[in-house]
Amino acid sequence: MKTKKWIRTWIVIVIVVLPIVGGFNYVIDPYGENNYFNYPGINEIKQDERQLKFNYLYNNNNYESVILGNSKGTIIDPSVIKKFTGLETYNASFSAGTIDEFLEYTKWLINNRNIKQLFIVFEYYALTEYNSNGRMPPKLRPNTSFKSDYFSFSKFKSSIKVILNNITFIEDLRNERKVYLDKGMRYYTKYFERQNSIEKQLEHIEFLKSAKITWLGKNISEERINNLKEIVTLCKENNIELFLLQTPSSYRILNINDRKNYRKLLSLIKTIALEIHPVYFFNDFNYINNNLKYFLDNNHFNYDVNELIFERVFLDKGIGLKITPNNAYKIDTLLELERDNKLKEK
Amino acid sequence: MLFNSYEFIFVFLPLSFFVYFYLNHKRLTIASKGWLVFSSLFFYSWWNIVYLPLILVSVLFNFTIAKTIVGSIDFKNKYLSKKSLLKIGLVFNIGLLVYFKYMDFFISNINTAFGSDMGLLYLALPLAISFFTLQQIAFLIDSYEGLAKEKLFLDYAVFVTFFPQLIAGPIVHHKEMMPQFASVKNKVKNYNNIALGLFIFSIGLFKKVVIADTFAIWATAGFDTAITLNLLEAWATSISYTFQLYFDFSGYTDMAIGAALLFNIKLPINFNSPFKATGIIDFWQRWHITLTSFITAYIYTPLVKSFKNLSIHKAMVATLITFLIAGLWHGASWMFVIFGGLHGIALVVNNYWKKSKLKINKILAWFITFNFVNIAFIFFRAKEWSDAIKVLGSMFSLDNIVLPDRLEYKLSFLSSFGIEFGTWAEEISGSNWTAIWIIIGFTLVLIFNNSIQRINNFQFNYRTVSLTGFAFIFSILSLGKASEFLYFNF
Repeated sequence: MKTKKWIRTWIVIVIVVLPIVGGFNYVIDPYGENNYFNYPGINEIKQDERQLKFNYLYNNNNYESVILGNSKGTIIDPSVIKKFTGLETYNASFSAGTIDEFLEYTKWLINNRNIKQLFIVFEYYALTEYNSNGRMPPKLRPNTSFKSDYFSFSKFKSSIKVILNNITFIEDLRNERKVYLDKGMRYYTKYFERQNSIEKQLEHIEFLKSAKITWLGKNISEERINNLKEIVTLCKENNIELFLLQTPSSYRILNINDRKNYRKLLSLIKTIALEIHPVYFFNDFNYINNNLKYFLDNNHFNYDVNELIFERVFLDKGIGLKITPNNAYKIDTLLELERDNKLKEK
Repeated sequence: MLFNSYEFIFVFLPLSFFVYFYLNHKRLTIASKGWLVFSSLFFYSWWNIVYLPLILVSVLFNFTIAKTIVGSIDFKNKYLSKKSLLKIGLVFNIGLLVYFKYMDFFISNINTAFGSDMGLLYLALPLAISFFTLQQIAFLIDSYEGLAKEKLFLDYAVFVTFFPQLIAGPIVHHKEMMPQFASVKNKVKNYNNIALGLFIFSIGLFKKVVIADTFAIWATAGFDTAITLNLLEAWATSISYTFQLYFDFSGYTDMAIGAALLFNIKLPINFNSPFKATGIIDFWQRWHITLTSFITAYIYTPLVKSFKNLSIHKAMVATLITFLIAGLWHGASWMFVIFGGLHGIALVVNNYWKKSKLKINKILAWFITFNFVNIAFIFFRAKEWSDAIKVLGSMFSLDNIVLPDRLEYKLSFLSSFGIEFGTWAEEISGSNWTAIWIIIGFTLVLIFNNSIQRINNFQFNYRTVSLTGFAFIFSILSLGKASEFLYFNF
């Protein structure tokens, strides 16, 4: 092969393949960012939860109350909140949501919607340096360049995945999406299947006792603490009622690493309550934490807990604690009990 | 500007290439050199234009001193000797490096040692200062010794600022570069060089974007984020960094060599399969070769010459001093001094071993060398002593062993020895892919020919064009967020 021909071939390969990949990603649009082409059975159902929910919020203007949270937040049924407040509520929670992401959503909601209430469901990691690598919708990340997004191998993989999913699991995806878009909450069919069988429920509990557990997040991020402060300020300035919720985990999660992580969580909650905003705290080894029957897995509580959480928020009764600057000593009490080994799971 | 960025690959490099050869085609050779200097300074300024005057002053000053040394300016005999001029030049260059790179380090050490409270300067390290300063020191010494002579400022500016080697080397000598820029043959497009340049640039881009940046995830998590590490995580962290550094720096060098080849300029090789080394002497003949040549010629040799009655022991003292300086050249931190000291000691041991003529099995020699290099790189990477000890301590601690849970079924008897089963790479954001990548890394560095060897036996056929095209396209699609090269920090 002559050198000139070699160079020409190289240029042709590059000129042909790169636009094909970019064009393919643009057309398939795996995260639903441009919605240029939505074809049933090919790419109708996208795969990104963040984008899917944002698109819904973007196209619907009838919500006065929004839940922003992580995967635990996705279990919350917005109709439970509506029962207490009468406000139309949408659950915009997504997997591994972190405070910096919630801040961008908050800004967008303030600028584009007229909401009265905002619920933020956070985990310890949301305020640490933990990075979920979740894709923020482009409208919430204006600095993302067009070129780098579509000429991307990871997006190409997602495009392929979307097509395969649409071909293979179309019905399941449709059902799942329907629940997402109606309420914004996740729908775990296995939970409902277990409801009719005590045997299956016991089996599930046994499974959870030995299931793998992890604790995400390490060092607290100053930047994310500041993000939370900014959210609080923005809500105050715009007369939005803000609720910070640290929802229940199972005792197995709280016991990880000889409860060293749990003690860090308690310190974090106290700091937030004293310096930033009151927190509804549901990890005081209450009967929900201590009973695996209330959990889908060790980290995610099930639908039975929804009502109990909001009884504490709106009726000030039941499980959990509302930690404010005036009663932050309750966290100290928990720390003391923990230190004296008196805080026990049942 | 980064080599692994869209703006460099699709705009800057093609534009500078076409304009350069267009001007040469029109026989505007001075304009073509001017264009090369202009585009190189633009390339440099893209990072931070604030430091453009610094490089300009440095180039101008060194050119003036060198020209005065070689006797083109008359006042030297009246006022200053050649040696005094050389000393002025060295003081200027070293002073520049000390001021921008080491001042805060010295101040904080003085504060610690004497309990004083001198304020730090918090100066940002100007990009490429370590490299263009070394290059110009070499030029001044060569001028003093009559080995280099430059009449035209424009030629000198091209030599120092030529963008492929400006930021992180390879460290080039005036005598190997200027004849290439002067050659009439090199002012015409050479399709052979263009093809080889595209090949090696694509391979370098792939090394950086696909391989080094993948290892970076685990190395960064292990060194910077993890609070504790288990045994496997610690080894994965250190090996990931060793491979990250190699693929990052050799990838950069390949891109530099490839970009320079487009302009018919052959840069010296900087890496020659360093992890195939079977001794530390061998390692330094394969790793960052141009730095090794520099420190040998301009630090070690003058030191050795300064000793009276040279003996092997005195030569070893010179080796140790040279590597302490080389360690510190990498950055203002005691960690780099430790890194240099470790390599200095290892070189001394290796030299005495060679002198003793004792034999060692080749595989064992490789094993010892690789592990030593891997451990020394822990100090190279660690920001603080505690980070180094965290990784190093866990690598040799048997108290915290976690094996992948899929092995639990077969190796459950190990539980009685305190060995746990679970997510073995959780703290370094890893998975079983980490182990697979490490195996791939070893395969690439130990079995495959390196890119320079491939260039020497290059064949223009469909296989090589497909391979090069694939490497380039895959890298472009993986660019996402361009990450900096590690050696930009030094």
